[in-house]
Amino acid sequence: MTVLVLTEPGDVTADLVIARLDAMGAAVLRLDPADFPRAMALAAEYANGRVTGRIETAHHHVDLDALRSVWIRRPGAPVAPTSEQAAWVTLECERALYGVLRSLDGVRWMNHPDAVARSAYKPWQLAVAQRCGLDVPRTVFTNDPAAADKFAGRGPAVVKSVSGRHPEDPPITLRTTLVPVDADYAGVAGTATCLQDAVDKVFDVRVTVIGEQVLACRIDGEALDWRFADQDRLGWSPVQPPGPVHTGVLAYMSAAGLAFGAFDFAVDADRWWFLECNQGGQFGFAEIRAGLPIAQAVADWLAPGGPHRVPETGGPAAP
Amino acid sequence: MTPFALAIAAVPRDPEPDWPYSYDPLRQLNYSPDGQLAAHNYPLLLSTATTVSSAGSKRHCDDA
Repeated sequence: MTVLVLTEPGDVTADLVIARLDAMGAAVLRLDPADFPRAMALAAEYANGRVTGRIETAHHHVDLDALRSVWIRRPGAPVAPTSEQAAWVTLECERALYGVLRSLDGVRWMNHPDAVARSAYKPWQLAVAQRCGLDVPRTVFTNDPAAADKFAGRGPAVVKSVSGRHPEDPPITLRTTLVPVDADYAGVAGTATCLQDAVDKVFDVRVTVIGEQVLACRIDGEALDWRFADQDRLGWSPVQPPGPVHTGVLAYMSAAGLAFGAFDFAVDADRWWFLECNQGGQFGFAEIRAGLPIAQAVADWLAPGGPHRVPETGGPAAP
Repeated sequence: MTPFALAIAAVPRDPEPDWPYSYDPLRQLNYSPDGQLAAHNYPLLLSTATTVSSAGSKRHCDDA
């Protein structure tokens, strides 16, 4: 049985997992959908009530009935090899590749594309988190300057991206940022805007959930948005979430249909405040900085009941 | 009209660094020029920031 990993070639976080799968003796096919149709081949036949076929790259292949699990890590999009009707060609490839994978019975997904799509909506995340018993900071999504002004007038607020994406034209980064007390809210009418109560945090936590395994990393530092801080100046340590948070994140995973989730919490003197859950969150830094065995947990989930794992073969601990 | 979030929170993005390792399609892993498996070279990974939370955010929704 084979684990299919969809990611770009330079993704060394995927390497952390694939190296462990290799050590476990699990078969792996790694491919980037950006290579389809140029440098990979797909053939899937639907006949006599069965699906048969294979996926091939230059050096590896998998028969479709041998697929055990699919890990959508950082896949590129199919790239048309011709300028003739390029958008249509790309769509044909995308629908064929993911359509075939979706049609296979008994395959485990980390994560299923439907769960990925659903989880991309931050308002949906907040509602699910609330239903799962997690504390959510007061938040508003609006394009009404008066509503934004009124919201921020009740206390310190931060502004953050609604989508979690960063603008590309030109490329800039949006960090979670404290709203100045004298802010001009006219620009709120320019697009949807997300404002959220600023948490008087003591520390941050990244909680990574793999299946039902919860691995949490405490992050100490003064940055409002630790993701863009100097990582060497932050403190990293494993931490055990309180019982209700542990229960809450597992309930969230179930509600969202996720097998992998990276939760961000801001922790004040009293509570762990849910900020977001990224279904494709980076975890290499938590593995390396805090020593959390996330890669092994992912490998174990992707190849359950497979060949027994071998002793840890990872690199030296980070300084 | 500049959207509010862009006026308040936007900063120029650093260019993506060149990776000091390359992908081996046969072994399906990345290796340093000296042949070492990149995933086992933690100092290398930390120095290139390829495993941090903001890595790849522009293309892969890896950092929402």
